[in-house]
Amino acid sequence: MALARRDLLKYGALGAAGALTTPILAGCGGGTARPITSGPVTLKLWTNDQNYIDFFTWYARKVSATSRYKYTLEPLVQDAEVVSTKTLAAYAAHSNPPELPGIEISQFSRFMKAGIAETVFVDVTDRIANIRDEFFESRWAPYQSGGRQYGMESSFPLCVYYYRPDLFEKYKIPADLDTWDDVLRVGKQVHDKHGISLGVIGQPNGTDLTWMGILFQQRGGQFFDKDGNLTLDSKEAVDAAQLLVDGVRSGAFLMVSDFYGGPGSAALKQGKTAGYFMPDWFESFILRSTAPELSGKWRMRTMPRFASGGHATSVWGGTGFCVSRNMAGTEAAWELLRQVYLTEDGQVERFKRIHFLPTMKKAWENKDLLNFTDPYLGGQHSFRLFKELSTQAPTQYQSPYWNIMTTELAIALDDALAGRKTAAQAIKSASKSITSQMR
Amino acid sequence: MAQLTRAAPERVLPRAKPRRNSRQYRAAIPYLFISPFYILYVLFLLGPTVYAIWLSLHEWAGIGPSRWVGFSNYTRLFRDTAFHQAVINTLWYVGASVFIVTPLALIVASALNTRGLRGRDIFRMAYFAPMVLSPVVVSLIFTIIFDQNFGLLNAALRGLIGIKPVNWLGSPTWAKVAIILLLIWRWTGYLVIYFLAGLQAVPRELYEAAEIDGAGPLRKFREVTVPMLKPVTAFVSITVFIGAAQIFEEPYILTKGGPGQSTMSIAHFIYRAAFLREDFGYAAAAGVLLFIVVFVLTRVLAHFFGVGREERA
Repeated sequence: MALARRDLLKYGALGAAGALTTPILAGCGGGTARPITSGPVTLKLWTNDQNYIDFFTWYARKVSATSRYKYTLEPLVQDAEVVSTKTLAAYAAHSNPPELPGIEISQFSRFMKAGIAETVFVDVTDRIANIRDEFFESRWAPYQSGGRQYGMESSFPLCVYYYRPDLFEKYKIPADLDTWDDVLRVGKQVHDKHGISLGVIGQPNGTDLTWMGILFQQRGGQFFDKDGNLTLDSKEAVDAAQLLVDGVRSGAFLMVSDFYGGPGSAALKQGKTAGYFMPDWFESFILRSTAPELSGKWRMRTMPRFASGGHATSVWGGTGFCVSRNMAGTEAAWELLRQVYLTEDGQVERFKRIHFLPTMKKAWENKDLLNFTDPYLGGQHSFRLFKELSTQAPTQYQSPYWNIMTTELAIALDDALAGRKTAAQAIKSASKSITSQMR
Repeated sequence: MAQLTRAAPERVLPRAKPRRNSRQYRAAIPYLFISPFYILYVLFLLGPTVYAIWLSLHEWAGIGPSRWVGFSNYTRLFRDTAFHQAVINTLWYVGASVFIVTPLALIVASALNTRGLRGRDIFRMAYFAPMVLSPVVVSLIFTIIFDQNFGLLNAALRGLIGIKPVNWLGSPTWAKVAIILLLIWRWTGYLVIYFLAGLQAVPRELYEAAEIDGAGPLRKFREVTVPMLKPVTAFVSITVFIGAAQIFEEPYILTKGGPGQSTMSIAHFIYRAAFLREDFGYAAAAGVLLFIVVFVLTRVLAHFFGVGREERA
C-alpha cells in the first residue's frame, strides 16, 4: 500500500509523540516507592574512594548469607565534589538517586543548606540512640544537621607524623622533635644545609585547607562551634597560621602547587622531604599508591605538639555514608549500613581489609588489630599508636558556610604566606569576610 | 407519439469545495520543516534563559521550594568583591585572547601561507594539536610545567638565564600570566585554521599588484591581507570574545581560581555559587548579567567590524 506523504508525516509525528511520552511520564514520577522488605535488592552506592566500594561489596555478600535481603551493589566512584553534585542533581530531578551516597566531609555542608539533609536523608538519630555511646562522639558530629544525625563516619582520620628514618640519619636530623618550634629550628638548618624539608604543604586554594585544618584543630581551635557559630578568630588560629608561615619561610615546610598531583609526587619520590604531618589515610591514599618503591622506608610517630597547648593529634578528612529517604531500597540500605558500620565485626573487618580506623570504641581492643603490623611502615604496629591517640582527638563541627569559610581563609592564608598580611591580620580579615557572608 | 420520459434526476455530486485544510496544510509545511530547529531552540536556549531570569529573582538551594527575593541577588552581586575580582580576571582573559591570541594567529597563518613553505601540513598539524587534547590533560601537565619547585619552565629559565624560580601558580599576577600562556598555546593553532582559510581566498593578483607598486612584506600585509581578511577577522574576534568571556576550564583546572580568587573567572564564580554553595538564584543572576554584557558587547563588536553592512562602492 503506497503511503502518501501526508500520511507519512502524520504517522511520523504521532510515532515521535508516542516515543517521547514514555520518558516524559517516567520523569514525572515521584512520591514514595513501595519499600522492599526482603529478597533481592539492588542498591546504588556512590563514593569518591574505591576502597569503600570494595569493602561494601565484600561485606554485602557476607550479610546476604544471613540477612533477609540479598544485596547487589551498583557502585559509582568519582571525585568527592562530583559525587555530591551528582547526588544533589539526582535528588532535585527525582531521577534515581543513590540509596547509599558517601558524602565526603568537606561536602556535607552542601546538604546542610535549606534543610536539604532533612529532605533527602534518613534521620538516623533515633535509630542509633541506644548504641551512640559505643562510638566516639567526635565522629558523629561532622554529619549532623539541625542537631539530627544523617551520616555515619567511615573512618577515624587521626593525624600523625610520617617520617623517613633513613633521611633523618643521613642528614643528622634529631629523632626527638618534640614541639613545632623544634621542627622550625631544625627544619631551617636542614633546609639551608641540604635543601630538605621536614614537612610538605599544598598551596592554599579555595577548596583545600588541609594543613591549616590539621594544625588549627591540634592547637585546640575549631572553625565552627556546635551551634554553627564561627569561632575562627582566635589565638589558636593565629598560632596555626603563623606556624605555616614560619615553616614555609624557613624551608622547614616545602610548599607545592599541587600536593596530590605531579609536584607533590615529585617531592615525595625525589626525597625532598623527610616527613609529612597528615591523617591516617595519607599512607594508603598517597604513600603506598604513589611511592610503592619506598615501602619499608617510612615510619610514623605522634605529631610534634604546640608548646602553648592543644591536642596530641588532630583530625582531617572522612566520609559519611547516608541513606536516601523514600526509596524502595531505603530500609535495605539502612540494614546494610548498620551491619557494616555499627557492628564490631564490620568495624574490625573494615580496618583489616582497607585499613580505615574504627570509630567504635570496642573495636580498638580487638587483638587482631592491635597485633597488626604495617609492611609499608617497616612492620610497625601502627594500630597501637593510633589507639593511644583515639581518645585525644578533637571534634570537628560542620556549618552550611563551610565552603565560604574555606574560600575566605584560603585567600587570607595566601596573603599571609606571601607576606602581604601578618598571620593575625589574615585570620582577622578572613573572619570578618566570612561573617559578612553568613546570612 | 414520443413519450416524454422523465429523465432520471441527475445525481449530481455536490461540487467539491476548495479544501481550506489542504491550503492551510500546504502553507504550514515549510514551518514544519524548520520546526525542529525552533523546538530545540526553545527547549535548550530560550526556555532555560527565561527560567534563569526567573530564577535570578529567587533564592533557591536546588531542592525544596524557592523564595522570591526580587533584585536582591543583583544588588548582592554588585557588592560582592569576589564577583568584582571574577570580572577583572575575565577581562584579563578576554584582553589576552582578543589582543594577543588573535593577532598572533593571524601572523602565524600568514607565515604558513608563504609560498614555497616546506612541511606546511606538519606545521598545521602541530599548531592544531593542542586543541585536540583534553583540557583536563592539558591543565594537569601545565600544572607540573608551572610548578615553582619541580616545574620544567623554571628549570629552563634557571638554566638559560639564571633567574630565581618564579611562583607561577602561587602569585596572583603570575598565575594569571600562566593561564594566559596556556590560552595562547591552546587556542592560537585553532584560530590559525580560520585565518589560513581566509588567506587562501585572497586573490594572488592583489599581492602581485602591490609588489609592482613597490610594497614590501609589511605594507602588503597592512594594505592587502588585513583588509581582505576583515570578514574572517570579524568572525574570529567575535567568537574569541564570546569564548573568552565564558572561560572556565583552564583557570579551574590549573589553579582552581586561586591563589585566593585571583584567577577565578565569571563562569567559575557561577559554578561555585550554584554547585558548591547551592545558591542557584545568585548563580543565575550572575549568569544573566554575563549574558547581557556579552550580548551588548558582541553587538558593539559586530558594529565595529561592520558585520551585516554592505560596503558601499
